Amino acid sequence: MSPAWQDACAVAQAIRNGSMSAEQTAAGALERARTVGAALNCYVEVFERGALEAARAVDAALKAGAPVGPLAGVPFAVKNLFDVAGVVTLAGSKINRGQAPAGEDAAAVQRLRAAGAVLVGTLGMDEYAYGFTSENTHYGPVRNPHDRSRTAGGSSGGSSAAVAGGCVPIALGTDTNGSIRVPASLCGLFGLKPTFGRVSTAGVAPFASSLDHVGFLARSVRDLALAFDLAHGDEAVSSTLSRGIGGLRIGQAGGYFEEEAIAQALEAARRVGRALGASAHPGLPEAKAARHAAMIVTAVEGSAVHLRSLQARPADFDPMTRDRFIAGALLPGEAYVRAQGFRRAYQAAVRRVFEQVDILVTPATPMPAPAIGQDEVEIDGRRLPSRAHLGRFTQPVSFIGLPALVVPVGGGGLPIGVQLIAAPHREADLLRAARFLEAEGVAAFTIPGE
Amino acid sequence: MSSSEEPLREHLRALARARGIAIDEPWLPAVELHLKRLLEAARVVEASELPVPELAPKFEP
Repeated sequence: MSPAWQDACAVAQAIRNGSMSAEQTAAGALERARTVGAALNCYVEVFERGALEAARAVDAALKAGAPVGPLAGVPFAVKNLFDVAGVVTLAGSKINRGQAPAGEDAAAVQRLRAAGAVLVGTLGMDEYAYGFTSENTHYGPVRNPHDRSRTAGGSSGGSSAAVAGGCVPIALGTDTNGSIRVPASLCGLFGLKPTFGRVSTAGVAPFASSLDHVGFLARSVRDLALAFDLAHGDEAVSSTLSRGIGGLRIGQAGGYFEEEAIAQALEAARRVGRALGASAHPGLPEAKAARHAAMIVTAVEGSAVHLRSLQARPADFDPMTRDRFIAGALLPGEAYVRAQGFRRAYQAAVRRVFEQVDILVTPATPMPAPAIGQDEVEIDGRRLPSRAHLGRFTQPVSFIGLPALVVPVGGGGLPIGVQLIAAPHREADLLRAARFLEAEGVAAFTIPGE
Repeated sequence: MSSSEEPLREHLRALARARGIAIDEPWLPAVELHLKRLLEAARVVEASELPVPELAPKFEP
């Protein structure tokens, strides 16, 4: 297999055993950034000198017999919402161009660099993370490696395109309403959004701070598990992957999670459920209201973050986000108060669900990647706004901070993902189930045609 | 713009001005659309059957 398509664990192993140098690996990643990355418009900035210097340091350490981290020499890249020392955190905006460069790396970037990973660059996104398609008026749309006329998903679309395009084996993203899980689904990747707060958001530009999560996109489950272990620093889940799914109670979510989705999405979820031996389950109670409450909390908290810019220079926003931020600034306070009150009640109701079941299976997105510029999608005779509709199945989950993992399910044509949901702090269960699906051949990343 | 839309959009602009935000004419329809969607979302939440608790902190004696 070409080094571009090896997962992070395989690359790390090859560098440790000397069959490949870290410098060769970094040079390969930089070449992919110049060619594939440019075609996909997934990079904001590429750190050619920094990546080569970091890689040479890994090679020197290995030559000297010094200890190196588990990701020594592995290229990675980060959504441009994460602070990188010496780099301006643009967050997909024009407004932030005037900001000073970050003084230090975001916490998650620090953790991966400390493990020896080599930072290749920053990645494109929707402006201020407010979107599901990474269509950005300032910097152009990020393109899907499986079909470049289609969106890579968002808002971590640069992250998903870079990993699915073979530019890097692993990338950091953020997820407020589905911004890791949607692009993972649309680009055919594994994506993990951990429990709220489990991976530090320090050094990550806020979008809606009571909903923001840090997570990962990768082409294998073991890469997700390793990155998660390195980033959260508590118990090690990587060692539990091979335990299988024995003892896990798994439910196939129905109701809301079987509505307003195309047959491909529903069939993918059922296929995963069958492989996991899932029983029929009604799903999360009041999921529809939860999604709508998440929209309110997002709009109000997001507009609060950007209010000064909305007042001082509204014309410099991307029109795709500006009009929604302004609407959030004008919404009556009672809507936000009620949404937060509902959130408490919903969290209590969902806690009871996870007393009966360990994992729920749902589609990750109602459809595969829409075309860039596509405003509407027709499902069951209804015309729906295609961008907003991508978050239908992810928003009720992140709204109360539950961990969720997307697995890619093939079947020809465009990829689509299936979402596994667990109780707070049960990421290990999700990763075990995902690894089982991967080992059974039910879930797998498919290399796009080039 | 229809005559019935004019007062609503003027109200929207005035509300935004009160918040210190100047909305250009071409942005108005989109802002209005998104605000209507948020108000509709609020109605969906309001219709929920879950008993909504008080947000104030409670301390046991």
